[in-house]
Amino acid sequence: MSRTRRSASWRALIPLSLLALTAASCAGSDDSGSDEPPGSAAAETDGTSEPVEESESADESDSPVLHIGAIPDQEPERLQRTYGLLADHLEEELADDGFTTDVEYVPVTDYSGAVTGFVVGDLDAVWFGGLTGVQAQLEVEGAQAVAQRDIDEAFTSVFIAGADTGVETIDDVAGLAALEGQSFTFGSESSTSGRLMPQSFLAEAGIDPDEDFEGQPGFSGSHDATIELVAAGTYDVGALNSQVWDDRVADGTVDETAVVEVFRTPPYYDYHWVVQPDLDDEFGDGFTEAFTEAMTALDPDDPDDAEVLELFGAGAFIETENGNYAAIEAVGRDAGLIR
Amino acid sequence: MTLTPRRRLVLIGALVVVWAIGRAGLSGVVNTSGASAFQRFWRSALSPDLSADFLSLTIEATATTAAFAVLGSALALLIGVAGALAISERAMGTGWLRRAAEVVATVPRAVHEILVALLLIQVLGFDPMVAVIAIGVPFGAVTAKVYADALDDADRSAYDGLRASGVGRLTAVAYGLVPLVRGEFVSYAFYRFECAIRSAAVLGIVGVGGLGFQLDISFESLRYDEIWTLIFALMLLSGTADAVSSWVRGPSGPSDGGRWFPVVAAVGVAWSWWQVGLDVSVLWSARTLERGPELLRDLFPPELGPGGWTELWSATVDTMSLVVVAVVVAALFGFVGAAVVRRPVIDKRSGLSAVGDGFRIVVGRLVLLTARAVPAPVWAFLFVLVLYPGIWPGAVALGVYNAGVLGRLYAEAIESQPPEPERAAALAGAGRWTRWAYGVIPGAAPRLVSLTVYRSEVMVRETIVIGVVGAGGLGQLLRDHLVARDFGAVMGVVIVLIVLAIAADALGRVIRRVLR
Repeated sequence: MSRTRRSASWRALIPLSLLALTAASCAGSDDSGSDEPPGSAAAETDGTSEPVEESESADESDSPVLHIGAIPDQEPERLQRTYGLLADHLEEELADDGFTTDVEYVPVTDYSGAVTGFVVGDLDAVWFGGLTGVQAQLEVEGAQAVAQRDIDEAFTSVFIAGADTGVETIDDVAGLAALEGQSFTFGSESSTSGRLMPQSFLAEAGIDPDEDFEGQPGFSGSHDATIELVAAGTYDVGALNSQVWDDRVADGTVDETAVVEVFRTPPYYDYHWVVQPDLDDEFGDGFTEAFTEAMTALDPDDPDDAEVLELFGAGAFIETENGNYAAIEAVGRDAGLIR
Repeated sequence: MTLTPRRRLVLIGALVVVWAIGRAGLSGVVNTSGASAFQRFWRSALSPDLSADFLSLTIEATATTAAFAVLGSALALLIGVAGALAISERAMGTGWLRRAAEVVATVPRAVHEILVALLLIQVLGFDPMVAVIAIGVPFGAVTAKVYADALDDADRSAYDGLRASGVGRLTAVAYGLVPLVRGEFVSYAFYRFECAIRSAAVLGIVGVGGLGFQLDISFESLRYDEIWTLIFALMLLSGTADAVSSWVRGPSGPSDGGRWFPVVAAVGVAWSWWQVGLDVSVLWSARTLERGPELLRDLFPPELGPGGWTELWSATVDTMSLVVVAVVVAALFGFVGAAVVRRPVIDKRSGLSAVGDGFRIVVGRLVLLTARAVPAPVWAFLFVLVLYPGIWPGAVALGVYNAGVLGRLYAEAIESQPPEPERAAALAGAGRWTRWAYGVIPGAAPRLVSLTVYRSEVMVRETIVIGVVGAGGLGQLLRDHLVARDFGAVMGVVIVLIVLAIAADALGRVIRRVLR
């Protein structure tokens, strides 16, 4: 499956061949004045093949499209694979309930982009982190948290440190005070496990990131980048999603001589699906419920379902509701990330 | 001792640079332990991801970026022509209306395309129209200013003649001035297109598609091999746009005064429209009519963030020092680059050293092209691996990126100098350095300074695209507010950025006047 919203198509070749033509004429010397301005070739290629069908044209066909999205917390290939399989699963399950709809995964570049996509209505259902989910619920009146993984009731972050920084294993939240004077990086600004909760636990230990670290805290942009920057010694300490960390350690991509885990946080509520309030109007009565059931119906004993669950790192999906994230909202307000 | 204005300016400049470097700090700048990751990135240049899937993705993204640039430039051209008529004295007279139009035109010039795009996606979603407007409006404002200046500076005899015979202002401009400036208009339109390509590449980062979008996605998981494939595509695109633009604007370009231009523009726009599937109706869709006013209500009145004035002030000072250091880096590397890619003026070389010259020029051009084709945020990530977080990695990243742009502009400026002074110096037996000092620099200096000053204004705006580096500053503050979806505070920072850009513009004018 392609990583863009639409697949690559032959049309793209037109400008490139034009560019190649003009480049060839310009690269040699500056004295060629003879070549045609770009454009003449375009007409010839016109109509030699049918354009590949695009998402936009799919929108206009009979069956409505459910656009799903996710915060980019994993590498794009994995997201693509996960949501490609999930889209197939959802189409099947929803069809069983009488809803004929295409399900399309729309990638976004950052966490706040996922929120924006949901707020403007480009995305119908989004796999949010704790903080971004709460932001979405607050901005879109009537938006509902519908499902989460079994592990999201008790999610954790890890603090990692460069092996040569001398930062020792920390036993409890109060022990985080020992990080004073180190340089520190979060992940994405809106990440729950890479920013919000680590910041909250640091605050509990009496550390103000703007005052007590060496220099300003960094925002690496992603969990993987946090590992890279701490391993490189750019920052002494960083915090990230424990699930991503465990995966990287398990598949051997972490250089454990350069970077080590020093603390695992207490559990908190994290990821969840949030859906638009008007899905039932748009796709038919009972659609929201059918969506939730399609998620919770993922069965670890079914080989296809098991693959999706495995990619989500979950045993099963369970129902959830907006109220479960009150604690995250409070922490978000304290941190100034919900205003 | 009294100082001439010029010396005073140099002295003040030196003090400002010392201050900025002091604020950036000189201890603990280089982080040697990040070198291996830094090297890994450069080594990946030799093994880009060339799988069929990724290549087809790259081609599509390249086409999308090119299409955004074409459509954005086209919009800029429309706005530029209309705006030029509104702010040209000869077209509008000297009334308050013209003055008001001129003030209105300064605001979009001060705002970076990324910022326009970030706000527009709040209304239009991830629609291609976002990229088109984000490029078209700020570029249109700059174009309007340049075109208006061209109209007001053109030879006025034909215009005066028409006016004297009782013709209205607009008609007199159309028949008396436009034929004179048409070539210049086309030339500048192509220069804007060249800039639009670079801009479109970075714009993808907000999520509207194209190379920047794919680059950002590959960056999430640090897939250096994919990043390089995309960078090579950017270099090809950017290099081609530069070459076309140079050719059109150069002495050997098409010579019929731009009559061919409408055809080329029409074909380009038609193809681009189709490529990105542009749909103008999103501008008045129900959602836009609802979200637009909502966003405006969120943006106004502007507010202070939770950190208050202290935070805003300290961020502003950080940004200023970052820009100063970045300008120094960009000017230094840009000048060295321009010197390296310069064609020899004196033809007394043996075949062997001519080959050496050719090699030097090609390598130099490639280095400059790489510098400006790699987007500034990517440079920032690379430099934060080898320079400790703070002002330095951001300033060096911004500096290196702009050195790529400045190097090219410097080289053009130096090449357009008459070669006689340098030939004379060479005939008098001067060595390479003396020839530069007496034959090249005195003639080119005013133009070089002018270019640097113009670029500094751009760099003030660009500070917002530098993330990751822990430099704080207005860029980080803006991101904080955007992440918290606190649009009032976002607008507060935007206003500071606008004030800074306008101040830089005014300062630039002072500097140019003193040096003239």
